[in-house]
Amino acid sequence: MSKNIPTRLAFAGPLKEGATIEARWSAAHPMDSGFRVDDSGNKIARNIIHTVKVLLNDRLILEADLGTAMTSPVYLAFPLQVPAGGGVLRVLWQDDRGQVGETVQRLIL
Amino acid sequence: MNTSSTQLHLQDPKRRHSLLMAAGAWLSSQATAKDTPLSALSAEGVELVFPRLADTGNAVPLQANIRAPQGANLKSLRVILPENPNPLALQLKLHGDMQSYQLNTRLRLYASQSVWVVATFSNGLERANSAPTVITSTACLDDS
Amino acid sequence: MPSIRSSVQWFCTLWLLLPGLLFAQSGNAFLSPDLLQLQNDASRNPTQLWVEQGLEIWGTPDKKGACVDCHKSANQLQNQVTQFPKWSVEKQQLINLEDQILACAKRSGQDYKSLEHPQVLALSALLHQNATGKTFNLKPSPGHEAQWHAALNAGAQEFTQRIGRMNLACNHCHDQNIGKQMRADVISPGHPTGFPIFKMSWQGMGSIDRRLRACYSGVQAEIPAPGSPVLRQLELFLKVRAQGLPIDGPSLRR
Repeated sequence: MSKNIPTRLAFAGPLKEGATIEARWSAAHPMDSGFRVDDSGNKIARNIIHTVKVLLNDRLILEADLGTAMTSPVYLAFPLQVPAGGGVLRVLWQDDRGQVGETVQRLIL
Repeated sequence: MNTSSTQLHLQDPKRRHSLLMAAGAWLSSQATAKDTPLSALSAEGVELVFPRLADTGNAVPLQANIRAPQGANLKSLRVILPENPNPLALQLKLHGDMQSYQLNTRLRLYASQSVWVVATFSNGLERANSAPTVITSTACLDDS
Repeated sequence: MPSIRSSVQWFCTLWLLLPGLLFAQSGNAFLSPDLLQLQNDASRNPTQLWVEQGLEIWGTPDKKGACVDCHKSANQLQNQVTQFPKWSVEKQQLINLEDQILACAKRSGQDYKSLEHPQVLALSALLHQNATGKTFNLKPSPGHEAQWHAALNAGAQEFTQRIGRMNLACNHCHDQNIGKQMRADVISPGHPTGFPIFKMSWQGMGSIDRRLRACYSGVQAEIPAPGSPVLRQLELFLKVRAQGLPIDGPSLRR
């Protein structure tokens, strides 16, 4: 039973060839650490996004292993250099239940 | 939600002391490639922006500004929270050749502590820096 | 014809509204500088994830969605948002916006069941975002003035009723101790202008129903079930008390 996880990917900085911009990625994943209990006192099972891969024009630029200390929603902002002609940034994620997702954003110069 | 017991948990001096001891031991055990404890690594090129007093333990913003030494670039970053139940918060592996890097993220903290950021560069060198914070409400258990 | 008793009740209700009017500040004014900065940055504000999700669910004329066929643009419901909670003839009690979303969704074949379902909160976030700047406009519906007034009075009564192991009433904190610190929090007047909220300690989004229930938990009182009449009555009272304050749109809370 997979839930729809809304994500967003935004850029901050000049979209010019060679410029360094900041990519800001958020995912509204519950990021249940496994330490919390619900209203009835039952332990909420651990389910976090554990792996994030970032591809710029299909080239892997960043791999991240996330632990339970990452907030919900997950927020990760990292720099990248705008390639000539712009392109596409893809952020792929996977959680403990095996659910995967992808956030895509075009880099339009 | 039993906040009074949570507060006692953190304020009890014996517990805090044993936590600190465990944190210290864990930190020292974080063997780097050259078997150097984190606290012995130079902090040069690793600048952290972390609030001294965090509003809430549930979302503490961390900014890490990394500058690679001459001729090298950044290969990996580790974010460590020694007093958290799972101290390794984030591990990044970079596949580019960036010489300066700014990471921004938000973390959940179990207790007041110092966050450690370890940077590994393409020439094999490692640098680490820490920044302390005091939190007023723990992230891991409170959920009212 | 209003009796002396109900006139006295009405006068007492008005009196209770006074501190709320004197401290006419949105909860956002009580956010720490860090959280306020996050609140004002749409590219990093967590509530925006839900607003965007709401837009997806709503649909557009070109793209199929659950709501667009009947309601057209979500922007057109700005005034309706300011009118909840309303008296429901069908349920014979007050209903709020999340109750209405659940009812609407059920009609179109989507049974979300819970007021806190992510899609319900997404739609609520979208509708409240569109109503930003508008003030609450609470009026009894024609023919049901008596029920509405009774509900408002019940809400006022609940606001001043001591409850829980801590034996506190809402007004003890939210009228008498505004601005004082309670552990990590600064006590606000409790004006409901920022719902649905993203509460950091919840690590998620929640409705006014959830937040009011958490207040009961906070004073160690028996927590009313979601959707209870007393919660709707309190909501009505709080929004009447907040009359004149603009809606903030979905906001962050500690």
